Amino acid sequence: MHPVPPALSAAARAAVAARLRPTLAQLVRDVVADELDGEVHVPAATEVLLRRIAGMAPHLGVGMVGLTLLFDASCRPMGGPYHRLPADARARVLDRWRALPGPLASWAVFYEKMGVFAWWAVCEEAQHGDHGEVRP
Amino acid sequence: MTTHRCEVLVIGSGPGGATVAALLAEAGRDVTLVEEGPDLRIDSAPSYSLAEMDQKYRNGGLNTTFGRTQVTYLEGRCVGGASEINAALYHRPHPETLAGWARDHGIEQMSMEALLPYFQDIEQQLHVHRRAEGLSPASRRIVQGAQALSWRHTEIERFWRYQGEGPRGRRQSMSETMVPRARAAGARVHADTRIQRLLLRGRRVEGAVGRKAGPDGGRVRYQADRVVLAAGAVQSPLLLRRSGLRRNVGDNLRLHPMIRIAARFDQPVNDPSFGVPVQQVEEFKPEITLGGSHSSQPHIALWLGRQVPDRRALMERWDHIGVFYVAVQGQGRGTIRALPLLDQPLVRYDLGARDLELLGTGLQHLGRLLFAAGARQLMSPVEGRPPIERPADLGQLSDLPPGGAIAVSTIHLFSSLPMGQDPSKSATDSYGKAHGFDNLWVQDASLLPSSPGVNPQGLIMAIVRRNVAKMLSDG
Ligand SMILES: Cc1cc2nc3c(=O)[nH]c(=O)nc-3n(C[C@H](O)[C@H](O)[C@H](O)COP(=O)(O)OP(=O)(O)OC[C@H]3O[C@@H](n4cnc5c(N)ncnc54)[C@H](O)[C@@H]3O)c2cc1C
Repeated sequence: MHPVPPALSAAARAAVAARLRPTLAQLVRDVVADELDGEVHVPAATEVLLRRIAGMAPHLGVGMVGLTLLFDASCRPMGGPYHRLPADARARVLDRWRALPGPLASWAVFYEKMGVFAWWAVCEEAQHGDHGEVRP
Repeated sequence: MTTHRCEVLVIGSGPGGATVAALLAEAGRDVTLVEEGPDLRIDSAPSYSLAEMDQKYRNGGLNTTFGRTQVTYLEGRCVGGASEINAALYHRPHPETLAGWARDHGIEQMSMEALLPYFQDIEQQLHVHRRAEGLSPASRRIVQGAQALSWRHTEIERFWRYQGEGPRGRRQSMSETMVPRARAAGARVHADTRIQRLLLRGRRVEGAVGRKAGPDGGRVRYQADRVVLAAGAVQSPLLLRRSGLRRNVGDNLRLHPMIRIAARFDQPVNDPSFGVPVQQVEEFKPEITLGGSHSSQPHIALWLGRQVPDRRALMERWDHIGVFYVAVQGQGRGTIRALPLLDQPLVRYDLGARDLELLGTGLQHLGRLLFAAGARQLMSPVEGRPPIERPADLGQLSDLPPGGAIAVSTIHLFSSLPMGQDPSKSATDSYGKAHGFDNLWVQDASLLPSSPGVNPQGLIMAIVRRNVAKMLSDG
C-alpha cells in the first residue's frame, strides 16, 4: 500500500511514498530519541506510518501528505529537508510547528503520537510476538 | 454488473445488522447480509495489534472529527462490525435513560419493563457474565481506590465465554454468534461489498447498488422487497445522504467523549494476559464513567506523551504503568455529511463547554481514584503540562483547554438517525422504520436518541430485537 491519494497511479503513489520516507523515518528517530539504540526498528516503524497514512480517509490522508511536504519545504531556508538538518534545528522546527494554529499543530502531534506508537508496536512484535489480549 | 435478488437486504453486519439477519432468517425470510469489510475469524489477529487494525478497523483506526477540539474515533469494518474489536463490556442502561427517551421523543414501548425480555435473551445467548476468577492487577487498583474513597464500583459483565481458570476465553462477537445463526437459517453473507447508494422510488426502496472488492469484484446490484440499513452511526446516515435523503439525516450525532491517562505505580499493575480491566467506578454514572484501558507497551508509550522526562527509564518498568480513562455522556452534537467525489464522510462534532467541564471533573475524580490506589505519578493529558505527583495538584485538570492540546477520543457513536414519533425531529418511527417509507428500516446505533452513558452494544441489540419483533408482527 502507498500513501494517498488513491486516485493516483501505482507508480505515482510509490513516488509519493519514496518522497515521504526519509522525513517520516527522521520523525520516528526524533520522537523515540529517548529510547532508540541506533536504527533499530526505525524502517519498520516508518512503513507502519506510511501504511497508516495510506489507509486514512482520502480527505485526511491527502492533508497529511500535503502538510508533510509543506513541513519539509519549511525546512529549506534552514538548509533542509528535515532529515538533513542537525538535531537542534530539527527540534526547533518541530517546536515551531507545535505552536502553529489548528491543523499544523495537529500534524506535529499526530507524528509525535503515531511515531511513538508505531515504533513501540514494532518493538513489541519483535520482542514477544504480537501481544494482544489472550485468545485460545 | 451482477444482480442479486432477495426478500430482505440487510446492509452492515455489526450488532444491529447481524441481529436483524439472524432473527429474520430464523423467521423464514430470505435474507442477504451485505458487509463492506472482510469475513475473518475472531482470532485472525491478536486484539489491539497492528495486524488487527489493518484487518478489522476502518481506515486502520485513524478517523477524526472536525471542530475546535478534534475527537478521534474508531469504527469496525469487517463481518461482525465493531463487536469484533470491542472490549465486549455489557451494560443494561439506566431505566431513567429509557424513560427519558419515551417522554422526550415520544418513543413507544421504551422502558426497562418493555425491553427486559430482550436484555434477558441477549444475556443468555451471548454468555453475558462475570469472569470466573480473580481480577487483573489494574482492576484490583480500581477496586482499592474506590474502596478507599467509598465510591460504588463494579465488575462489568462481558459478552465472553471464559475458559477454566484465568482470563482466557472467547469474545462472543457477532462472527461467533448471530452471523453463524443467520447463516444456519439460510441467510447469505456477502462480505467485501460496499453499498454505495439505495435505489429509491417514491415511498419505496427497491434495492441498492454497490461494489465488491477483490479480484472477482465489480459493480453489484441488489433487488429487495425490504431494506434494513445497519451500517453504524457514521456510515448509515452517509449512505442515506448519498441516496438523496437529507431530513434529520446525520444532523444529531452524539458520542461519549473519552480521555486517557497513564499512571505509574511502585509495583506492577499491568499483566497483559488479563486483557482489558473489567472494573468501572459506578459512583458518577451515567454522566461520568471511570475505568481501565488496554495497556500494552505501545499504548503506554503513546499515553506517556512527549513531556515525561526519561521515557526510556519509565518504559523499562512498563508493567508498573497502567492506562485509565474517563468517559462522559456527551452533551455536544455533530453532523455527518457526504463529500463530493469521496466515499468517506466529513464528520463534525462540537465538543461543548459542558463536555469539557465534565471531562475535567471526571479527570479529577480519576486522579483521586488512582492516588488512593497507590499511584505515584499521573501523566497529564494536556499537551506540554508536566506529570502530576500530588493529589493537591489535581485542580489543574479542571480547566481543560479547547483545541488540540488534549487528546479526546471515542469508541461510542450514536443518534445520527434518531428514532421518535415526530417526523420533524426524527429520522425513523419508534421501531426504526424510516419516516416517509413503506419498506426501509434503520437498525443500528444511529437510532438511539441521545448518549446512553453506558457501553451501548447490549442496548443497541435489545432495541433491534424489539424492532424486529414489531417488523414480524406487522407482517
Ligand atoms: C474499539 C471499540 C471498543 C468498544 N467497546 C465496547 C464495549 O466494550 N461494550 C459495548 O457495549 N460497546 C463497545 N463499543 C461500541 C460498540 O461496538 C458499537 O456501539 C456497536 O458495534 C455498534 O453496532 P452497529 O450495528 O450500530 O454498527 P457497527 O458495529 O459499526 O457495524 C456496522 C458495520 O456495517 C459495515 N458497513 C458500513 N458501511 C457499509 C456499507 N456502505 N456497505 C456495507 N457495509 C457497511 C461496517 O463495515 C461495519 O462492519 C466499542 C467500539 C469500538 C470501536
